Amino acid sequence: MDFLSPLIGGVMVLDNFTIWFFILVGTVIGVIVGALPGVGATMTYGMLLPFTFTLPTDVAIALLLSISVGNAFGNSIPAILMGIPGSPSAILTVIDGYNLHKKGESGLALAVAWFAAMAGQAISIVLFVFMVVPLMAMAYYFGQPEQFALFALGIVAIASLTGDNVMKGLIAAGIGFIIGIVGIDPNSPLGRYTFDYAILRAGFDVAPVMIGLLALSELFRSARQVFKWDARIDTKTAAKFPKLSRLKPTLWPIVTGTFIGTFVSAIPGAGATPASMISYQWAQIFSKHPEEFGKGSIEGLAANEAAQNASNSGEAAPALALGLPTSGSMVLLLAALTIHGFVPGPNMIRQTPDLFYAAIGGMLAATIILTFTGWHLGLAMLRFVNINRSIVIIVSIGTVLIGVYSLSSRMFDVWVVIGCGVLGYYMSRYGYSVAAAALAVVLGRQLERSLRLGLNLTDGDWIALLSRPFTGLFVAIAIAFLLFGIYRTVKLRRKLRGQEAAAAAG
Amino acid sequence: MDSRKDLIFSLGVIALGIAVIAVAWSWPEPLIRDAVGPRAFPYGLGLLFVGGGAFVAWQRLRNMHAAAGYQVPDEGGEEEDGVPASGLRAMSIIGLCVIYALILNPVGFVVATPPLIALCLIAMKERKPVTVIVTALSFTIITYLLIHTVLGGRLPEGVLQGLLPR
Repeated sequence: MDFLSPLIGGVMVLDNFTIWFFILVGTVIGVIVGALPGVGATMTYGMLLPFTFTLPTDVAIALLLSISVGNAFGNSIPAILMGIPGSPSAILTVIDGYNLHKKGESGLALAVAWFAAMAGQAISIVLFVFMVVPLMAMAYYFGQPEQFALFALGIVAIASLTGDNVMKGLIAAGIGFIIGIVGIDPNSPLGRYTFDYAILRAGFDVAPVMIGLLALSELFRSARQVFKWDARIDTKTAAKFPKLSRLKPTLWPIVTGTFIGTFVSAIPGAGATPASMISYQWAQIFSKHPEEFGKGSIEGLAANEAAQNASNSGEAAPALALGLPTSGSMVLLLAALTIHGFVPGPNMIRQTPDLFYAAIGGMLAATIILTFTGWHLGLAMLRFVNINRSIVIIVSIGTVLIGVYSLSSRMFDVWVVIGCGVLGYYMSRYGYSVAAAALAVVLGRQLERSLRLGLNLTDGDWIALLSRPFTGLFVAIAIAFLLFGIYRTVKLRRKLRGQEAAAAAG
Repeated sequence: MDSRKDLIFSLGVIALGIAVIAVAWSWPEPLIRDAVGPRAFPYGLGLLFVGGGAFVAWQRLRNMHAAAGYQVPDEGGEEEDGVPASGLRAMSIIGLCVIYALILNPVGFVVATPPLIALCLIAMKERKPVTVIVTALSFTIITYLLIHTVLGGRLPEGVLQGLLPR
């Protein structure tokens, strides 16, 4: 496949009113949930996932990705106007954006955030194509051994890099793995962990497990605290769009931020937050006014916003091209594809390029919509940040429960989502990575199947399996991630012990 | 985070590991053998749980008495600073969800859902009756219409079987 065909395919997907309607809905929902601190794209995916079952696959993908685009823009609004990041990746937006707001430059801050978000998202769509096409070509060389190593890399990377304790990350991945292998053994009629229940012979449906682990658990956790999203903002604030010449210094940080955001977020376990931080630091190093960073720098704000918006494309690339999700929302995107009958993996896009075009079309159309409406939508969101947080949490819980029921009209699924929600609640309370568990549920069964089939190909010879070039490479990278994760854990523990000792002495 | 609770969780992980291995041990040998077999991954995961859980438990026990009030730095997700967190509130919400799941089919969506939403809002300290009632009823009506008319799905009718418009 060449690089131009996907872009044309993405545009051609947008040839009907239905898809534009759902992309508009998704974009607006994304901006709203982005503007509500603590909600986020992953939880929104979890709530809406069951309802996408009735939609055509291309519309479902476009809808979900447009939510991500809207969310990445929306989370800058409370960050700038209230000093509260809509999501962790907007923390640096608070530092510079809120300072600009306090100086009376709300309009400039919002305009920079909007411009950087749109430019970053638009450029990253092109980078997305440049990443996915070669990955699709590589998929020709991916046999069962390569797939095993790739899935192992994804699981180990997320287990090692998310959370503060790598051992807990691996245990979390193991928990997800066990959930994923419940059912009939791939190579024999043996029922594993079915306890002779017929309903378990097909295993757990991916969607209720994912939604429980990623969305419902977070809602249960949010319910622990009752507080208002403080009205630190005068909702009658009138921000004026600045002259375009004032945005000129942001051009270079936007370009660098977009590249960094796209490629860093494609790494399993990375995501928008480290991507935006690296982009911010890079912009500061090369800025003519580094002293302004942290005090209201539009270059810092632009770099951060471009990176976190570009990360939508970066995260989607390995998820769609290789079946390797790098974030909670991408895990749920793959769960949505599973509901529609697709098997996530390196061959998915190659066999069904329409999914690729739908992803491009969804992100492109959402970017176009926000380009024309983003400024006004952003100002309108000022009213939403004062919505009663308790109502949002409880309505979201209700939506999740009924949404999961509506998937297959089975109470069993409701029990699964509640059970996984409770499991995820305790896991996240005690530092066990829910993202690693969710990823292992999706990839674990396929990983085992790939290993067993791969060993059949090599007549049970592990050396022959692991010495294949890509297999060996992926296993080596997985080991490197694991070692890095151990190093991070040890370093953090030493730092905390030092702080405790200092606190005890002082 | 309370290190004692983390210790209990890690002991639970060890127990899970033992259970995973014990159940896998009881499976019959498959007729078709492959290089790995159906028990390899369960055994490996069981060993991970037992060994990993023991390691985490050892870490906690080693420093348990050194930490004031058994409090250690959070390894889990952060909560909002300065706002008291109540595990009992979360348990109440979970309990209400469990009760909802038990009564949803026999009682029906339209009858069971408003009390769920209302009681959960009360658990979240929402004290304005109008807000509670309006939210509970609005959510029920909007969700019912969305699923029945827009998405073409079915929700349990329960005690209102045959009385609701199709």
